[in-house]
Amino acid sequence: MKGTNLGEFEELILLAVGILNGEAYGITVMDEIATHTNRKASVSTIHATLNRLEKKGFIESFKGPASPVRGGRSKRLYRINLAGEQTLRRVREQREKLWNLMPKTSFGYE
Amino acid sequence: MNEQPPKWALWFLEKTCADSFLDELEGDLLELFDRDVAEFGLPKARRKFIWNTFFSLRWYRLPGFKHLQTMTMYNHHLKVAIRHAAKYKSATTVQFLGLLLGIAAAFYIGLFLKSELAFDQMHTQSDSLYRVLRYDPTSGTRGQATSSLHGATLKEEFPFISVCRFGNDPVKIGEVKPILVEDFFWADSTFFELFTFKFIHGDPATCLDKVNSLVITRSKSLQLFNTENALGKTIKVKVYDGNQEFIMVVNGIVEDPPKNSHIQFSGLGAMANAENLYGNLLTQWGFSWLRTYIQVPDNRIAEIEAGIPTLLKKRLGDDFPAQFGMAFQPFNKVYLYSQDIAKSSFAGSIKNLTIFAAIGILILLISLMNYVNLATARAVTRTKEIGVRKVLGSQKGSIISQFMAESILFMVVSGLGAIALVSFFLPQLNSLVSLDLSLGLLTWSDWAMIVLALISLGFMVGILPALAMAKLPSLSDNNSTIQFKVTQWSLTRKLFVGVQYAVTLVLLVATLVIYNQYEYLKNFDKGFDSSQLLHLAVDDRDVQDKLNLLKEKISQIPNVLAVTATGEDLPSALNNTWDLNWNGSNLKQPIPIDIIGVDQDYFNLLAIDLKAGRNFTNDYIVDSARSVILNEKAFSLINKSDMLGQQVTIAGRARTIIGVAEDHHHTTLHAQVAPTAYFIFPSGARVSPDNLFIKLKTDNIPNLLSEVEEIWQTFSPDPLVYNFVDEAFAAAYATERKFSVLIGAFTFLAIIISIIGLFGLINFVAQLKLKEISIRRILGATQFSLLHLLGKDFLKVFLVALLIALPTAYYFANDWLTNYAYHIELNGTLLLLATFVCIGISILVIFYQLLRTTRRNPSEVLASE
Repeated sequence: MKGTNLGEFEELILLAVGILNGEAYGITVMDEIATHTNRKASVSTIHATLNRLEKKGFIESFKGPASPVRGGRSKRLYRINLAGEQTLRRVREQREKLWNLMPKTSFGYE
Repeated sequence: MNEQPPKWALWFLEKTCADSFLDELEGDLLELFDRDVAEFGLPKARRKFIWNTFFSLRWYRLPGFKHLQTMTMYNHHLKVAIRHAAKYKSATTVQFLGLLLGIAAAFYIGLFLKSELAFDQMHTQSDSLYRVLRYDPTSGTRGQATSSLHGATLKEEFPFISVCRFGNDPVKIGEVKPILVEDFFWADSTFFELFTFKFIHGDPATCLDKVNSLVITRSKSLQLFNTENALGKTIKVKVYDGNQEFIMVVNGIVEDPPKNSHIQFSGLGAMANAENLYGNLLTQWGFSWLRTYIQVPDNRIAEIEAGIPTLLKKRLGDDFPAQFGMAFQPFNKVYLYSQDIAKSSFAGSIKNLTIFAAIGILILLISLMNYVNLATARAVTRTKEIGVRKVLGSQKGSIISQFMAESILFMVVSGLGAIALVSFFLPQLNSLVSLDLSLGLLTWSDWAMIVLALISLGFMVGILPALAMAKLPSLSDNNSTIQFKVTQWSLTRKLFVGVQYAVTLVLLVATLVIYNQYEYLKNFDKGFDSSQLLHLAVDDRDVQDKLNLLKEKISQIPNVLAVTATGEDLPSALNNTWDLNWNGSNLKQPIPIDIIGVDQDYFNLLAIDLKAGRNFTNDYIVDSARSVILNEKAFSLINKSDMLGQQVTIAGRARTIIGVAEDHHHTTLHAQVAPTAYFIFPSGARVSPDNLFIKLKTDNIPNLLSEVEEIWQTFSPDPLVYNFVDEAFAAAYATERKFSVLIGAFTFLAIIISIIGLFGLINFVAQLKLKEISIRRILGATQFSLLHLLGKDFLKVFLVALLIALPTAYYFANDWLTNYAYHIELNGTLLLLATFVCIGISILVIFYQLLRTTRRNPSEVLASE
């Protein structure tokens, strides 16, 4: 059984899959990450992470239609499921709780 | 679409990606490719595609792993192997220890070989360097001492080579309290062009260019100037042999030469100074005082070798002596291949290296055989496991691969353990045999080789046990467990035990022979009395002039029996060899004879008898320059009984033989007693006395030494240099000692490994015959008859091994002994002793196992059915 913790990069990918809302596959996720976070990740890294997320049970995949643009290859599309969404919300809640606890002085500028 | 990614990259992708992932990956990559073509153009897109393909390799996507059951199987095999090892702890320990020791021995020997082969390898040009040797084509003898003309002529005739001459001259450096520097050399300015030594300060290219240039090592710089950077400082250098002085300038500081270099120095002076010093002598071919090295570019050494006869003819005239020649020794062979060259006393010898390599391989071999034997024998404990596997449908192949994997695992674990063991004990091992080995000698490729070797060895030793396991019957086969083949004494097992016995026997004989030879050398009657004999080296010329006074002062110390002055230390290499001839000798070539300057007390003090004639008299004028005493060897060469009182010519000078002294050894016993002449010499010549021997009779040596030192200090500012002659002779056999210690240690290891193996096997045989033994005991068998039952198979194998091992050992031991002019005679006792040790240990092991077995009540064993 894989752990159910979410890594930092995994969190980004999971968010991207959520944003793409059923249109997520290797390349779209890569572009999404590149435009919004300025991070360059290779397709393979994205694939590996998607695979891991699917094993952890946060996303589901289904076969998309084949298109001539891709040499006749079909896409594997990913969709966030309930467990994935709940985990994202939990992570966000935890973060906000921690942010609220942070005293201003801890940055030491004042 | 015309733009296509490379076909082979697509092919690679299909081969390395499981089908279930292929659509997604390939589709995405192709889409990316189309995009790249639009953005960057075809060539770059294709490159990016290739790049992406390779970096898409992922473990989870590999097609081989789509059958995840295989992985589960491997995990399962590993688990079973570990559990089985843990269940039979003593058997596992025995197996593990045998392998561990064997690999450790082989690893240590490998390390030793590596360090020996790395000798002299620090020079970047070492492949194109050669040492010039004097070579006598008529007798084949070679010598490393060459004249200045050798190098100069070579450079003139073959301008494309670089020449460096390198001549030793002990000097005293310093103003107030000069330090004697023995390893000081005059060197050509090309020195640092040929040899790579680490420069700290100064310019290697020009540091020896001018007269009075001096280069010193870092440690000498600290000693002389108290600083690491003495660049530019001037200092007085007094040549020891000629009383000449130079004011020299430090032009360079180098790191001390590494220990594994045969070129050792602590100071270098410009060759120009030596030219001033020796003048005309340097234009003589016979003045061989230095070593010559050349660097030959582009492999043109054959050209030079071919040109040597012409060169000699041209330079020396048509009728130059036939004995005169030159040879070139590759620099990389200087350390290991110079046993025949006079005056090069390196410890390295390719012969010893071969012996050690052979021992390492033999020990590894017996430990591997051990493992195979024990592992095969253990098959009996796994009948049920294999049976169940077979019933469940396991193929032979899968059982074989299971046990192969187990062997490889075993081998890698014990290999790593062995390396850890060796590195842990390396400091102790180093001091035991005075070596300087470290793991740092090994490069990454060596480590990779070691791991690879371990894995392939695991493979090799795994095959036999794995096949044996695979042959085990399945459980459905009813009573076959009783009669399956592994439990019998198969031919392979007999062969393996036999080889172990043979190797152990050979090593044992070798140890005994080497040890006996060493003891024999140490205790050999050298022909003189070396007990309580103190030696003082008198290196200072001024003190040599006052030697008689010093001698007299020392002889007045109570407990000093006698003192004598002589030109040679004991042991000595006898460096002064002159010519001997006489009237009516009919000799074409005069006989070479060693010269020793002595005084009238020499023979008495060393207890050397005069066989005929008389000793030198106290009166110098009578005997100096006119008389000679020969040793028996020299006298017998003359071969005329009435020569006593007659004249002989030594180095062109007529001398009367006044006496004949008993033969005695000056050198170590590697050589025979040479013809020797004893002279009385005034001080100042090369052969004049520069040593004192003091015969003591005291129990309080420190006290006496301090008295000697007190007298010494009134004569010389130098520290007193002394040693005891018997100790010096013992130290001269250090190589033999090291050799005997090493061989002894490895033999010990081999015996331990063999005992471990024997122990395991007997244990196994006893287990098999447990019921038989129990029944026999109930019927009244004696311990002896049981011993016979267990041991008779071993005895047969042992006898066969004996027949092979003893002649082999005898042959090699004899061959080795011929290296010594004086050696022990090989007799049956040594061989018998080795045999008894082997058989004795075997009987002990068998007996011990028997006791263990018979401790159990026979009824218990039989009831368990």
